[in-house]
Amino acid sequence: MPTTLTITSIAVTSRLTLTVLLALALLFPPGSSAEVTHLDTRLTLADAHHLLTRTGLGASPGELLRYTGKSRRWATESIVNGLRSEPGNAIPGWVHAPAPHYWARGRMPVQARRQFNRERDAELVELRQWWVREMIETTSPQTEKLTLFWHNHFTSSFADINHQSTSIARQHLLLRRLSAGNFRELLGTVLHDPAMLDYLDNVNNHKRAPNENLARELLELFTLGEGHYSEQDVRGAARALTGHSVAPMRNMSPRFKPWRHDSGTKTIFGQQGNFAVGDLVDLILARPQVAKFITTKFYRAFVNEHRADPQTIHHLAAHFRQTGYDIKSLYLKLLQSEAFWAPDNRNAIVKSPVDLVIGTIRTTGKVSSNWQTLPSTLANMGQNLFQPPNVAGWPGKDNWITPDRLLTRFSWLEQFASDDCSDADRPCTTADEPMMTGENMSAPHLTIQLAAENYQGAPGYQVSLLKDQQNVWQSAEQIVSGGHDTRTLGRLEPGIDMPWQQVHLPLGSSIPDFDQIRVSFLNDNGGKDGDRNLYINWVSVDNKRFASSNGVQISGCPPKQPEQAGSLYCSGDLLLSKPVPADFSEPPQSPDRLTAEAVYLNWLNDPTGKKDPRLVFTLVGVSFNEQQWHNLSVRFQIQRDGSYAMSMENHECWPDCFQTWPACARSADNQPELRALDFPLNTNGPANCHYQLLDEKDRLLVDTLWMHLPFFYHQVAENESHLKKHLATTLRKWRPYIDDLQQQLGSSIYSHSTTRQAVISASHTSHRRPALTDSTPLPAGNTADKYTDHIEQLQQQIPALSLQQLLLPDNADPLPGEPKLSTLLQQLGYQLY
Amino acid sequence: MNRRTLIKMLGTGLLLPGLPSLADDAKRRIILLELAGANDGLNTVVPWRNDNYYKLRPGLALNNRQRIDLNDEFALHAALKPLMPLWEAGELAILHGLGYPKPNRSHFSSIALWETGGDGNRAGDKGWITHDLEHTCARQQLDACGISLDGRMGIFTNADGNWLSMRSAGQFARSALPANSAAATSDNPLMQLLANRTQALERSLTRIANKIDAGTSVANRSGNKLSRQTDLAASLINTGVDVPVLKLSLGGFDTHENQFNRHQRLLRNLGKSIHALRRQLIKSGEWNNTVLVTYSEFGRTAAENSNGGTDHGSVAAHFVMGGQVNGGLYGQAPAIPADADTDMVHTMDYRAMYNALLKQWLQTESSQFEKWSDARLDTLV
Repeated sequence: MPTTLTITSIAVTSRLTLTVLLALALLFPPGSSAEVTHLDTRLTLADAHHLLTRTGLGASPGELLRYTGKSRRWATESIVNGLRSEPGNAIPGWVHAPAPHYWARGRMPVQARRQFNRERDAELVELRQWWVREMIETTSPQTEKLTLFWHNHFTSSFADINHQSTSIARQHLLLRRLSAGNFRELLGTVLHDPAMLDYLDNVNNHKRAPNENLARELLELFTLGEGHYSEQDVRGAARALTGHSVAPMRNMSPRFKPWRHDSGTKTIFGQQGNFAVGDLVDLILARPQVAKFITTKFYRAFVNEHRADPQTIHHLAAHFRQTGYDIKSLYLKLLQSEAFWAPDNRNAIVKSPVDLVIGTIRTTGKVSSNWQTLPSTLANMGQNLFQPPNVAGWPGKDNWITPDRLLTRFSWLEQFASDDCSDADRPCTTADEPMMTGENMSAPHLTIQLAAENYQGAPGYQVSLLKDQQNVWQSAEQIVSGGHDTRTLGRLEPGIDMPWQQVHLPLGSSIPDFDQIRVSFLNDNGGKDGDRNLYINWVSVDNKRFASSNGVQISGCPPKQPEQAGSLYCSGDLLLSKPVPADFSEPPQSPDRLTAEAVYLNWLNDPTGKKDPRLVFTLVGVSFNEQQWHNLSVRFQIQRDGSYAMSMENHECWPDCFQTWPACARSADNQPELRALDFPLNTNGPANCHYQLLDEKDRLLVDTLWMHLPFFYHQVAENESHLKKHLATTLRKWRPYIDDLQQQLGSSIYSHSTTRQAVISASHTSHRRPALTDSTPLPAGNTADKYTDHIEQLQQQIPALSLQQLLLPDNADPLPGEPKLSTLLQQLGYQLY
Repeated sequence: MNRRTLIKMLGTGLLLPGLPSLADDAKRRIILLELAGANDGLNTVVPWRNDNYYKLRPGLALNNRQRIDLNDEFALHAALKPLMPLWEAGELAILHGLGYPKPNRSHFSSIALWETGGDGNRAGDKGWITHDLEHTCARQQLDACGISLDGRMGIFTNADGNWLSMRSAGQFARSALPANSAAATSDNPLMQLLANRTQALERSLTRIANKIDAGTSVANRSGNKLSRQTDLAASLINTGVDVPVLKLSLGGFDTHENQFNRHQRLLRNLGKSIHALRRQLIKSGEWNNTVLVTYSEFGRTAAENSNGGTDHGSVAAHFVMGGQVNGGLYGQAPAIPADADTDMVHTMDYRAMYNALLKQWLQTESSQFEKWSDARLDTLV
């Protein structure tokens, strides 16, 4: 890559730094007219660098070129107008796909549950890599910075919401979409956001016993700040928030449960009323303190984090209120404040790991082929994306530069500078075979997702394809790059993402016929002060994915549980067969059958008990009559007179249970959105309107479900060993009723169309979506050639441009000689901006 | 009974300078162990004879199989069984009812108060232990004044001197600072902080690295978060790194929901890690030079909530342990209210403990917490 060559060459061409200052002075004379405000001031290179690094991620030559010499007014407007609400690279497909059945985890056999959890973790690996790519490539870094700002304000953590990947990713999209919108809308939406409702326990906020967690943080961290509310306000707010929950059986959407909501009179900020969540938002936003609190947070994040300027904040806060909490307007006003440009407020913020790492990549145009491990790099520096340490977010400031983190930062910068991609003899990739990139991905290849812990060197491995236990293809020996160095960083902490990356190995002209994949870990090593380990998540060939958890490990230290295969702590082999399709595939259609991937026991109580005995089954991955449901529930109940009924409720099916709900469908006073249909097993009289008024197709569905209720029971009962003991015991009590039901069903009105079969098969539990592209991202969206162009153009404007000016233009004193990239990155001042 | 207790009983009331001590004064150290998220005092040191305890905790109260009775009033959570050898050896002190006036219920604000010796009326501005130690530390040319092994520096807020954080011993042994890192003083506080921290690293890095390289064992196991820290602490101490303060933490104590299992897991982890640390330090003869102290930002409510958890409270018991600690129960357990809405009130200011640790254990010349000195702790250590 010529990129670094260019950087080196600028350093060479910059002879006299003094000439630069002169040139800048000539190019951009200070405004002479008295009416000219500071906003007419033209940006020097250093000003442009200041604006870009603060609002974006580093400052690439192309961006510097665009902003240097422009007025502050134009520049700030351009930044703010460039804010977007959608990402440039499409977010991984699973985010919009139906949410995994998180609710069913507790009903899964241990092995299935572990596999389920691994898949969620794998999704987060993908999500983090996607965001890192977006941050590297985007032409609107201001969007990323502002989204990250809100991620750190309205925090939620993947680990603390029980690994609900879907919710955390959708929260990210929400924050991105509203990041530059209206704070009122943002706040209101966040209070209905499933990830937030789960993170701060509002899913358990019930009028009987209000849970104050969300209410307290809402006042303390999201809007007012400590000292600006009372405990009574917290209690009132908590009651106003009761009932706002999540519908795990409706694609993890928000769900209001009116029967949990406290509609009594609450006292909040001295006012009394039957306040609901909307009123709460209004009450909070009526307080001037909110604008001050949010403005202060903006000031600290974008202007100066160690010294607030009450005067400026006061003006900005007033403006924020006047605009009805328009974030974009506040942001523009902030960037246009004199404070933002004041020399005192340069080098006044400690770079976050994202600023440091992604900023350096964008500024230098250099990105290593193992960029996929960057999320782990960020985590090592303390910024594990989607997993802030607690509800207050990353504390930042001095916390980013604790002594141990400083060492980690210095060592990454050193490594980055020495990783000289321009040197043909030492390419950035360390694999023996050329890495495949996006351009030649259509050629036959094998992809392996792996991570490494290094100890006196990185793990080496080899991949083979076998047919009847004979080698039909074998890779050269590979060395993993970008592993985690256990000698300096210690072993990977539990809960911290491994440095996962996908490596592509070309398979030659065609994919050989094979039935097994072998991954061999060749060079185990370790000592008292570290360990060398290889982790394999999966291998994919020809759109089929072979998961390690389905594999067999034959090594010096095999895993205790078979599904933990893939963690090679000792040399040995991982053998993979039994693939699943690597691409998203619709479940096969079965027009004349009811098929489902699985049936779960959803809920039950004692059939001999007094309280409405009920047994609820949920089918997942259902298809019937060309219709499909992600999940669909049926309730079997014993009525007071001892007769049986089946009922279905709208909040337990997704998509909706029926094409049309009869107008006579049951609702409830305390649940106006509820639609429920009851189908009594009535053998004498005519069917009720619930059944009569259904569409033909829907009626067929009811018939089939009714007729197969005993079948569902037996399915669940067969697998009762993985149910909790008390559930299994209660389930057994239902058997006589099910036997009785079986007798009665044949003569019921539902038996008219019962030639249909039901099939439960676990064949498509794993719908893989197309993998994200793994090609190396282009920093700031530029190819190496374009980067070089920009440098050259910038040099035409500033003839004596030096590397120091590109990286550290605000450093008062030019460094002696022609400092190299590594010298500049190691300057203490580089930790700040 | 150790010598100091004897002196107390003789009524001298003062520590006589120069009196030989069982501990090697020069190497006395303190290990601060933060139970982050606020540990539930009542299910750690259980008032098992108290009716209100059972009344307010129908689901969480520990029965006789879930606790280990210390006497006919108090018991330890059974998960703390690994601490029983310390109790039996008289090395485990339990300080009842620690808290401060005007309790703050915010995790962030309250831990900052504990870290800086403040209370609801007045915030501190400097790490509580650093103030009285800085001078001694600078004079004695120690390898470092204090090292945080959990990455957090709050306990060393605004301290002057070599207050560091460390992720692994290997990080110190194999990291190099940039050649030009020694920066002049700056009027930019962030530059100044960077310079201070780099300088602190520069002063300590090589010294510590040399000791670690010469040392026999540098633990770097993959364990849980606390055992990694206790292993690292033991390695540093046993390879002869001179540092009077080590800071560790275990997180996850904010048990608003499903406390029963979570708390049990946390305490088991805590007990095991402390037990292992003690064993390693006894082996090297360093246990007598070590005092380990637990603390949290606050306690938890006496009453359990509807989610099987407890909420933010104001008071909790904590542990002080070590070879030279006089085990036993100190102070008075706070009264448990009869109803769920009343808070427990602290019976000892936590700064009394700080004062005792500074004056009696680290034997600093001064203690900024003198005014909270509490005679009930005179025999603590």
